[in-house]
Amino acid sequence: MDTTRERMITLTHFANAYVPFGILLVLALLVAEQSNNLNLYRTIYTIWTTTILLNLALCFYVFRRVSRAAYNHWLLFWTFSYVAYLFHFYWAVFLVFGGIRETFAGQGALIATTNFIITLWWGADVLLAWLAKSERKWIRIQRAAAHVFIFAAFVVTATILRGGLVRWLGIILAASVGLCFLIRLITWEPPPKIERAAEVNPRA
Amino acid sequence: MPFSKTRARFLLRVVQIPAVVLVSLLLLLTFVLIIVERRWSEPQFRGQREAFFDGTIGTEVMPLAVAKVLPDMFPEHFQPGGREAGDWIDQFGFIRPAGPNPDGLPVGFVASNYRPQSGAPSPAKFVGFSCVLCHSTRIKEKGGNTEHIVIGPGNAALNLFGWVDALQAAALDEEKFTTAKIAKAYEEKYNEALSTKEKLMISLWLREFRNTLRDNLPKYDEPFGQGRSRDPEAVPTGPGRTQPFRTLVRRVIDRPGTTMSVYTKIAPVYHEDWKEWAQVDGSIRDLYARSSLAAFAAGATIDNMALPEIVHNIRQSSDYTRALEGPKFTQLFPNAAGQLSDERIARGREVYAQHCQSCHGHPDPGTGGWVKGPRQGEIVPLSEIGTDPERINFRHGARIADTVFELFPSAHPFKFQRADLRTTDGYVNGPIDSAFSRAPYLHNASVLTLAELINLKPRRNIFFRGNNAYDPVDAGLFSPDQPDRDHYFRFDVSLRGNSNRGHDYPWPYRGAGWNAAQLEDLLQYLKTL
Repeated sequence: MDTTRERMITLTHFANAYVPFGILLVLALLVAEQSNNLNLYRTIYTIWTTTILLNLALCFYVFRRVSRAAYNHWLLFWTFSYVAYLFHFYWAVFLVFGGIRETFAGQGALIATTNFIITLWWGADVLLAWLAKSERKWIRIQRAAAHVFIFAAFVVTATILRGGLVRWLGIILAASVGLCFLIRLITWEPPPKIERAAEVNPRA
Repeated sequence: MPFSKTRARFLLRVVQIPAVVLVSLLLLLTFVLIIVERRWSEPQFRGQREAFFDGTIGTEVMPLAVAKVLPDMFPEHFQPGGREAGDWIDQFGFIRPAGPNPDGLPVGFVASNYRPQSGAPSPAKFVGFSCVLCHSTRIKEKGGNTEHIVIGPGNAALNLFGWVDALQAAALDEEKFTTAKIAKAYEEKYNEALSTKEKLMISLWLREFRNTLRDNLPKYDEPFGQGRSRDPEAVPTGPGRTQPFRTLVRRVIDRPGTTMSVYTKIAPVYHEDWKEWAQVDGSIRDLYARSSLAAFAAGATIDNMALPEIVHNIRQSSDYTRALEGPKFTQLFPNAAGQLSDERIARGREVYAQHCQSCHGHPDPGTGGWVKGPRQGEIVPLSEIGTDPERINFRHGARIADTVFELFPSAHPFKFQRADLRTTDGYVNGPIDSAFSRAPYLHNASVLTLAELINLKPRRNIFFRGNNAYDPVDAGLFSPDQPDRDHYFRFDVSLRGNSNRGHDYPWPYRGAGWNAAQLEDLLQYLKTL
């Protein structure tokens, strides 16, 4: 499937992704007003928002070649979940930790580096998805790697390093993406073989 | 039945377009709110003295508008002595500011745009406390006309726990204490309506405050109010004292703490740099740790104590006390100082050198500093000093140090070293500069005068506290024999936490070695410190 020809985003596609993104982000930012620590809880609630939207993006990624709608939904959820993530990144790094150096000091080199890689790589892939005219092989490979890396980072963080609702979001993320992948495997059909026509004028 | 895709698409657009527009609007309004709310609490970075007097330390209690009308709305709670005993400022021992006071609030009530607990920005002002609320006192000579406001000692008249009881009683009155009635009271008093943002913040605050009080009722019981907030039977803390460990036990260990009787005099904060370990039990070393824990005990939170302005105020206020000097007796009581005899002072210095200097040090006449005594800074075990044991033996005492240390996250501005906090089995020997101004005495404020402390005169077992005048002869607080309008709190030393026993230096009253003449000399010398 030539994905550039398929990227004709309809109002339905856009609304399906934008409306939940907007509602979740507004809730994340406003509900934190009732908490004991505004910045901390904006950081927490925006990562919940990101995880939910990322979940949808990853599921659609598995099916993106099935139809135009699936591809567009993947693109839109991938983009909006990244936007939500940027809100989380800003609040965490600049308002909770108080800067990049302080973030490294607070989180440790491993976790902070992983987070910064996620931020940069995800953003780069979003830009590529919108700007690249076609999905060349190297783009496809890095995109797949980006999805796997970000999926793994979110699942490990949510299920192992965190507790409560975040852990459940991580479990749902892992389970739903796994399920989508399984369904895709089961329903995958190899493309039909195109038999080469016999040579009309074989050499004598 | 035929199905029209065109009409279905149309219906879908009827839903989708407004949904997209509405969400966009909500996002825009949210971003505008976030940008605007940053400006509500632009941090102010004050100098040391200004921070001590006017800087919030994260103890926001209620909206400013509420603070201005609450006592008028509930005279039954805030004027427990009746109208003739004065307003709430007088009756709860707050200090009225000199000069114009348009808000009608006492010294140490400061307004900020931080919401209680979270420190989140607020469009309306909230009132909290600054350090000067507790660490300043009025000293007025008995029969005199001049009242001195002294910065540094604990406010000997302040009945803060009684006032908090009155506040809680008012807040639980769902019929009389509503946003509408607050707005009405405000308008009647100031001829000015509350703004929408003030009403909104009052509503949000009232709901949260009341819910918290209600949730805690099974644990802490109801407040008394109704004129009982100053009764020793109801609120035994009384003037000039706090219960810091009860607050810590409640907030940090989440236990009721209702069986604790750990009454502690509000500490004087002169020359904090002269003390390595402070608090009466010598349990905290780092000055910023002491101050941040004091703020925490007064209502600040770990969250709001991380805000730059509050961090700055606590540190600057602490720094203000490093070299804060107490007044001299001659400054406040020139007439009484004129009665002192150089000869007696010299003899008193000898008595002091023999019996007191080792533990308390002595002034350095050359530098104006303080020479540390050999035992100054030591913890004197309870078994030796014999003073009230509740501060040392309270339940949960063994857990407090570790729990408090773990309370602060590692990156918190007030994270201190574990080695700066300890559990002790006694009371620390400290310097006693400006000794005369530190009345009342012993850590639980159970001895009214220096004359009684050194056992020149017998220590009274019953006395009355409130707005006590100063007795420059015995160097301490005057108490009548019976309660009256100004002296309402019956202090009974036989009650738990109130013992006035111990610290029988140089000698127990009329005990072995007791020498009245030497004690008279010692008293004169102590007045000169």
